[in-house]
Amino acid sequence: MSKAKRDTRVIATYNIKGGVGKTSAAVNLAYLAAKAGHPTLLWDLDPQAASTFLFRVRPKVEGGGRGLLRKRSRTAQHIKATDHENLELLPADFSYRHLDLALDQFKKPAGRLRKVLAPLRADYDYIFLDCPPSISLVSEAVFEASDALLVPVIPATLSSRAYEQLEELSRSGKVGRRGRTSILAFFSMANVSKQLHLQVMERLRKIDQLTVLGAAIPTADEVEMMGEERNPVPVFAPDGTAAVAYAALWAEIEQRLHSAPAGS
Amino acid sequence: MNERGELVTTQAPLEALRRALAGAYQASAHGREAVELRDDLEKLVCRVTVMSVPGGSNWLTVTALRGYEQDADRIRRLLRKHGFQSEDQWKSATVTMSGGERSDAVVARVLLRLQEIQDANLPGALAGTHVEFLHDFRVAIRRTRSVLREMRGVFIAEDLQEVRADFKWLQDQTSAARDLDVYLEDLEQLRSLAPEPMRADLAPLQPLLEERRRRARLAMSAALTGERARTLHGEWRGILHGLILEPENLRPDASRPIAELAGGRIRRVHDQMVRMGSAIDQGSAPEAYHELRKKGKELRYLLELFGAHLFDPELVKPLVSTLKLLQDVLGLHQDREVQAQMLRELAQELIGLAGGAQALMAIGTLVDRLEADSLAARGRFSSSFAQFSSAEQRRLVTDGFR
Ligand SMILES: Nc1ncnc2c1ncn2[C@@H]1O[C@H](COP(=O)(O)OP(=O)(O)O)[C@@H](O)[C@H]1O
Ligand SMILES: [Mg+2]
Repeated sequence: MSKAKRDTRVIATYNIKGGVGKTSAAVNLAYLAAKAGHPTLLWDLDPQAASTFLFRVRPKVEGGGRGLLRKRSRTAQHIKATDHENLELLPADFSYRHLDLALDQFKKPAGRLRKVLAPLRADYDYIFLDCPPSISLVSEAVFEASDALLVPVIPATLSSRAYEQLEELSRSGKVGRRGRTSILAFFSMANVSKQLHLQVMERLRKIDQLTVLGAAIPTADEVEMMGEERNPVPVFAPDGTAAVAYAALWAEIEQRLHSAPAGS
Repeated sequence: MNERGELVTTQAPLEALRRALAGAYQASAHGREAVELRDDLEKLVCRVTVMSVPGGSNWLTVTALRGYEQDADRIRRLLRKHGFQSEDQWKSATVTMSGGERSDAVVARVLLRLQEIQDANLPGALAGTHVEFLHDFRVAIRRTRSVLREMRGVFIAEDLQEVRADFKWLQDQTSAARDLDVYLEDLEQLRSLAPEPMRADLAPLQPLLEERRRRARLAMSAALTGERARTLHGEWRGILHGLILEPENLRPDASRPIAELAGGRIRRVHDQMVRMGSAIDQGSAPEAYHELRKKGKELRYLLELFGAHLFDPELVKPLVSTLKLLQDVLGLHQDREVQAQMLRELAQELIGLAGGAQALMAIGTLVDRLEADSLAARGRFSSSFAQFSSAEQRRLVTDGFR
């Protein structure tokens, strides 16, 4: 039986900095996509294995990152079902910390992840890439493979610098070389009772070159509790502010992604 | 074909799973008919569906989540180690025997095992929990009747008559319900045989068949739980346990070695089939094919119940597979005939129903297709029969089964 061709979108949660809410976003948004009935894959590219842990899966890939990059036809063998319908995981592995070196052995390193993902497109509507915090060959390959980079920005002056750096990168042509990757920023761990946060948010929203999504993820206990619960927020706190915010964020992302044709 | 389950336990399933998997996996109930199994990271690795059957058996199906197939295998191993039975123990009539044993002792053992299978499947058959129960119940009866015919010389002729009549009666009581199980299972396939635009028109068939099955099951239950069936099941065990003590002068085959008796029967039935089949040609009546198929079943049972344990596997296996091929062709021929017949019968009832006219037209087209299929099966008969009855095969049978 031939598989129907899908209009698959690849979404990477990315930020040069750690601890800004990449993993929390990837896990919750992927869960929401799957819950709406879309076959969804999350690839935990971070050797720290935070999203793998949140899905209770052992952070182990036979053959490591190098094997995944080399043997594209076998990628599917490493995929695990999560406890949630329609949501599957390609786990992290400790060897991913050398993924740069592994990529560098290919003629076109930046295009390699895209190639590895190509055969998986038949099986999923959405593929999430949860990235390690860095700017490296891995990031380049991620940019190349993604339809959208989802960038959490904490609305405090220091961390929003990170977003501005990304903007520079984008203008220098390093990000989204194919010119089709949209960069979507959203406010993460926002605290509207803090004057500083409000000011930064207002300032960034005014920059024309930046796409800042309307929905912001507030600082919320539920997100922190994910580590205890090892479940996406909507599973254990469906009515909390965080779950509501992630749902709004996802609705906005989905709408934006489907107003532009997918890269292939 | 949907299976009823892969493992069976008569203990409370959740507790039995917990005991068997203690220290390795956690089991928790998920609704009334499923159990979830989690590993040391509390990751869900397998779902177990449980079908509980009146009479106390619970039928489990273990389904691995993607990427956790190895855990599923380990879980199955642990469960077997802790007394969960695999489902073929409820249908396989395998009994150990050696060629030199007295025939009556071996025959009694085989028949007792067949009785066990009937007893085990009866509650599920009565409850209609899964079609497999009634099917296995009937296969065990058919096998019993076949053994009673083929091995009649180990019994006292007079005693046998009554028992054979009882088992025939028992089988007859279950036929209507089984036929309807099969029709309902076939309905999907039948629909796909009809031309696309007509498929929807066949919809009225389903409720009609279901109503018929409901009535057939009621009648069957009354019979199987009634006096005659209970008496038979009770007395039959007694007869089998006491068989070797009965006077031998009235039981000519009683003390013959089982290999000699079974080998003789296999040779004879094979020979009968060769003669029956040779007389069949394109113009033969459906009954001729039907009779040959019945003989084929007789041979199949002899080979499975006795032959496989007493003779060279090199000889038995290829014979069973050529026989199977032949039976498949004969089976298709007969199934199509029976399906066409069933549709013609139902047509009468459909006339008065809403949508009946369209259904009738669709049925007409379908019956034509079924008959064409049946003819095609006839076309394939001669080649599969040629293989079964070749000089080489006949020589192997004559020389090998002694
Ligand atoms: N909206 C939020 N509210 C409260 N805590 C958060 C929120 N988002 C993230 N955190 C916490 O911050 C830490 C880092 O978040 P994480 O999503 O792992 O970031 P990253 O993947 O960018 O390193 C985690 O302990 C997480 O629970
Ligand atoms: Mg992370």
